Amino acid sequence: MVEIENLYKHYGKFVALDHLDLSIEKGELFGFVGPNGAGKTTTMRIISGLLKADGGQVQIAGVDALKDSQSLKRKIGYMPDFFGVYDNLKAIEYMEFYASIYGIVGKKAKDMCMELMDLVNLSDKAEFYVDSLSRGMKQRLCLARSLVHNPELLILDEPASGLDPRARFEMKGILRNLHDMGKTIVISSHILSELAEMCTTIGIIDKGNMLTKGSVEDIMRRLNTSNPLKIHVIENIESAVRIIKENPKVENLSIDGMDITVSFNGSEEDEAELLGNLVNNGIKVVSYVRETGNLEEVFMMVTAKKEVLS
Amino acid sequence: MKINPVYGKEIKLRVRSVRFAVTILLFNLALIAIALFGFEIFFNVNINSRIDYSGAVVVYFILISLEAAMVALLVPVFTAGSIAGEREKQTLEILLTTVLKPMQIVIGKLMSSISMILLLVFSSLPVISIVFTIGGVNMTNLLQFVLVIIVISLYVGSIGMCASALLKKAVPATVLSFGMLIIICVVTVIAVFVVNTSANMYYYNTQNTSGVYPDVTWVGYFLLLNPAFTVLEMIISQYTSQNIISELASGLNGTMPSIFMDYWFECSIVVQLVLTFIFLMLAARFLDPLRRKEKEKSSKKRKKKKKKSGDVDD
Ligand SMILES: Nc1ncnc2c1ncn2[C@@H]1O[C@H](COP(=O)(O)OP(=O)(O)OP(=O)(O)O)[C@@H](O)[C@H]1O
Ligand SMILES: [Mg+2]
Repeated sequence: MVEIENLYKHYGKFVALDHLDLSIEKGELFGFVGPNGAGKTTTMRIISGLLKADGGQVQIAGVDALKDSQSLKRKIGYMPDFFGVYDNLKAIEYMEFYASIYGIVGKKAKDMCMELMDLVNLSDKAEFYVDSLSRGMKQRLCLARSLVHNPELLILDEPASGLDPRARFEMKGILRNLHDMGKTIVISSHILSELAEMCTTIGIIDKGNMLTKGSVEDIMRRLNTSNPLKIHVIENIESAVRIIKENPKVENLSIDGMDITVSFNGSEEDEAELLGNLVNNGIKVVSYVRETGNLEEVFMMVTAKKEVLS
Repeated sequence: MKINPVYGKEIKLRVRSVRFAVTILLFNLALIAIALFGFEIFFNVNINSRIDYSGAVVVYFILISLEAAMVALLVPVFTAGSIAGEREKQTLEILLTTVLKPMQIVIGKLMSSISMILLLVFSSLPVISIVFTIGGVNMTNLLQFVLVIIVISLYVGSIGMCASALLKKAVPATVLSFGMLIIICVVTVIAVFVVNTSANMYYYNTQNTSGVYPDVTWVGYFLLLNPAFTVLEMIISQYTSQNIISELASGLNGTMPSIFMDYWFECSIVVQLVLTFIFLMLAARFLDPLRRKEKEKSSKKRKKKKKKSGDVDD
């Protein structure tokens, strides 16, 4: 569906996209993750025909996105990382305006717009002026707007930014629905965990480079294995440490009271084996977890430990 | 006919506002006041002698000059803010990701901006016609007036659109459009005087009145760009048998092809419409993200940086 090859973009001397390669299959719900300034928005704007590329190739649903922007625009629905609403239009009029751009007018337009508003749980707000809608509602309205021409590919730049947990949850549900309807969706975010819950595949970008791309499980595992294991025992810490040190996958460890933090470079199988060893030797383990990366840690990892990912 | 979606939306927004109805009302009241005041002066003064209907002509002059000036001054304000308005609402980007072509956006915006002003003008036609029946102005004259008003609003509007698409901010775009307006309305006239005076000085000083007086009619053609001159020429030829174009040409020590002398009005309309078209093409080009010039990016970068530092402050 999306084939990006060697995409290059610079702003003056600053290289925003450094020969970026990315391919997204039809039907994927692709999460595009990277820290601020990584180049997510730049990539999305280029593939939506809003920004000129300085080099490379982009094919979208068989269309050369960098050349044939008119055909491209029929295939994609783009939602930028800001709203873009006309405050003094009613929600339904806002939708009908975009429908009219695609030549859909009258009752047909109204029905279709109501259907889309229903899809994003806004049907009860149709007659409200846009400026009376909450942030989350505006976001959903914009999503509905990007669907008026029934695009195959949805490009959503940070659709969940600034939303409270409930609204975020709702947004996730809507996106899953759209995915089930057969749309290919690209979502960007700088919060990996947020995307991990709903995406089928994830790609990580930093400094204009794709660091990795793969299924969510795959990426999470790879990221996790670079996280330390946190082990908490209630007695006999010396023998616990001895057993841990014997394990060849352990790189180093630190002890803090009854907590042991282990750099462990092994698979989940290896992890289970180590736990088994501890328990079999009579160590009372009360907690044994891979520390899951929180936001900052994922960023640090992505940027600092590229070798882990590639 | 399919109406331009941008136009449809704008009209919906504008007509909805009360301000619009109030503007139409106030504008016409003002015109009626001017007309009555004018008639009062011209007719009552002569109440005991024969009524001088040429006074009505003066009122007609004043009214149409006022309307033309109003169009020329309001249109840049409306159009220069139009693209900027979409940009501030951040809807411009969205419009550009739809199948709308930049030219359609430009046309929709231009039409919606000027149709409001044209509506003002047309709403004033009844008042104008009263003046015009009393003043003995004929139908062709009124049609010419309507035509010239439409052309001025398209012409000045296209300049405003061009500025708006280039600068994307309301205030600088308005300043640029007025700058352009001054160039076409004032600088062209100054140019004619300066060139003519220099030619005179050259003739009297260097040639010592014995050589050839240089033919500088070329500078006269710049007046084709000047909508104010178009209106002036229209009024003069409507009411006198004077041909100011041939006088202009001989003043510049030459002559112009008869098409210009006899059809100055039509020629200037055509020239201004061609320029309108060129300005609109330019505006569409400035709007097209894939054809934007490199130069623009640097200004965008500055903006983005500013925005970022602003965010930090928050
Ligand atoms: N118009 C521009 N002019 C100059 N530099 C730009 C411009 N747009 C983006 N950049 C730079 O390009 C880099 C990538 O920006 P981009 O907006 O693509 O990042 P992002 O991944 O979307 O980040 P965020 O998570 O903050 O949205 C940044 O360093 C940014 O400063
Ligand atoms: Mg971004």
